[in-house]
Amino acid sequence: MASPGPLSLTRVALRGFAAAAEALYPENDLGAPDWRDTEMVARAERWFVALPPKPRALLLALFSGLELGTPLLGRRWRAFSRLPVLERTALVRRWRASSIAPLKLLGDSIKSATSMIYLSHPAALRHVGQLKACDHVAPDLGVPVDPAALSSEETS
Amino acid sequence: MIHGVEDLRRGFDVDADAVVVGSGPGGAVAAANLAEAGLRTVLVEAGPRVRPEDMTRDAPLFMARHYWDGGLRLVGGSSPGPAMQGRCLGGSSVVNSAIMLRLPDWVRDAWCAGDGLDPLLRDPAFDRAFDRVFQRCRVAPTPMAVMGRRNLLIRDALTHQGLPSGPLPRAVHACEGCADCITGCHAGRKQSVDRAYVTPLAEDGPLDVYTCSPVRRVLTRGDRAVGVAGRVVDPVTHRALGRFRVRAKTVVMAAGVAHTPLILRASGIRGSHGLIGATLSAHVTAGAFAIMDEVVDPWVGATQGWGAISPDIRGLKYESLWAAPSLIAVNWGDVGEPWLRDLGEMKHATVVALVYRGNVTGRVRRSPAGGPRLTLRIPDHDVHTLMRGLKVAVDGLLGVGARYVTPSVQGVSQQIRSERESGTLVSGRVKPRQVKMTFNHMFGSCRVSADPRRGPIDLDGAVRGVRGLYVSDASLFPSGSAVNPQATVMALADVISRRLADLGG
Repeated sequence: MASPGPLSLTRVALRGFAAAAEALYPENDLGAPDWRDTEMVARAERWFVALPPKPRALLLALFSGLELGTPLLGRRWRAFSRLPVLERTALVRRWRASSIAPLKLLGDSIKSATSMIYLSHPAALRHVGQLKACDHVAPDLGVPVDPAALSSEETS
Repeated sequence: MIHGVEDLRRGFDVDADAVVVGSGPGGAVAAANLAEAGLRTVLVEAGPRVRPEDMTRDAPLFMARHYWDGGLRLVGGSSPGPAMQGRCLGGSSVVNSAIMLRLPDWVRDAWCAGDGLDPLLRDPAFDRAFDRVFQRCRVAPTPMAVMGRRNLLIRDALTHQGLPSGPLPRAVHACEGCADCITGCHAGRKQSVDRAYVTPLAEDGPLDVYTCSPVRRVLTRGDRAVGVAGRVVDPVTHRALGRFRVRAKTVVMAAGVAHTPLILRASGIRGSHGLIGATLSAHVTAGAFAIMDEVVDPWVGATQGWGAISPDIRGLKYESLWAAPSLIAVNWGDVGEPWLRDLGEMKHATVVALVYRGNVTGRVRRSPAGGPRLTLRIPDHDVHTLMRGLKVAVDGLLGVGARYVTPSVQGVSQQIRSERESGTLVSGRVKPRQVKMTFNHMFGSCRVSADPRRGPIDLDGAVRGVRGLYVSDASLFPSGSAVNPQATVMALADVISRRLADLGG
């Protein structure tokens, strides 16, 4: 896949996703794999590429909106990824508990999308104790994806 | 023959006696009957074929490729929530839990009384259709050997509340209890309709199947349907490829509750009184996630092995449930380190889901992006009834030793530990917006009725005012079926297509 430019929507969205992943699945002393161990950013990129155009655009809008919209949404005058990790966690927690429907939807969507990616990694599944009940487990990430699918969305 | 995208990049142009749009439960049965009757039958499916070797346990990636909108389709209205619908050969039967229940008599009575469906539903052919479908899909109660502790705890909780319950009948032969039907049956044991109906007739018989071919419109000449048209779409890149056209004097629409009305309206067909897409219904849903002291290993056992039909609340059904952890836990708990700590609880979990028939209304429109826009209005009293059922389930789980129960309801305790706390569920103040619902059972966007003012489809399954055009999916239902709809969809499709093919009942 061609490397997205620094100002591209994909790049901004991935920066927002990475910042959320670091905040919600942080390094910890609990023995749980963190966002890096579960390769969340690379796998999210693969997921975005595999999605049909409409949900892909929605997810890119969600995470680029998160990254760039924090001054408006969280009243912090920096991009989301520039905030301290604990502050990011607190913001998402606050949005999820908000009585304002769009903020709540934002918080829940960030939590849902990142949880899906985190918990579909074998290391996370091992951590929760999932057993292999079935011998017919297909190889991980067996779905073919088009590495060029996002290239038309680059803005720089 | 089953054509994949590799054969179809340049499009195709074929003639047939009949074309069936959509290969889910309704379309597969119709196509099989028409082909078996000797009609040259073409089945067109929007998604790709998916075999066990194509499947992945990575749920987001699987859904990205094999679900409509990558599994992220949202239904708007009173309680916005996802609708997870399969987009592959076999449709949702590939990704659901394969539960097969007959239409309850009281729902049949209601449909006959409200919409004059007696000639369709009182015909012994309708009961024989269920028999045929059940036999072909090898429907049997979920064996105790693959229940796993998670299903048995739901059994115990329902028994604790005095509810008669039992192993759910499912279209699975020799289930291995992987608890992950939602990413397809990796063991190849689920008797989804691609396996039970389409593949045998397409690989060794007369049925011609074109995958990756979403239909955009029905072709008409005067008042007659003469075929369908669309563009082949690459299932990996999602890019539109060559155009296709199938000419046939019989067109059967089975593209599902969202797409059947959308395609018809895009073809200028609005039905009697403009009713196509103007009616939509769905079951309302809720669930509860219980944490036990014991290790449950919820990933062991049939996905939905045990259930009960409420004797007290008509139209309410309880089911055990599991799915990939990446889906089951998306909204569960806090964020950050507290959530990572809570993940250790997952091996102690069991889940109950509730499905209620209710009185939901809604519609299907075309979104600005061209896809379906679904909206549902859920009356408050439906939610209050659902909450009564949820309290029964929560109390049952507490009664069999749950440490706490997390209901899929916002604004109430997320760790219910006593019957007093579960009382908040039935305070009468819970609104539809507070309940996290999933709309996998939707119906009625092209209703069948003897009365043209109530439904645009007549008792033969034909679209009124357009000769040669039929509907054969859950769009037909006048209202909710109160049980999982797949068996009823297939039985209706069987009756309609056998009449069409003059096969007799």
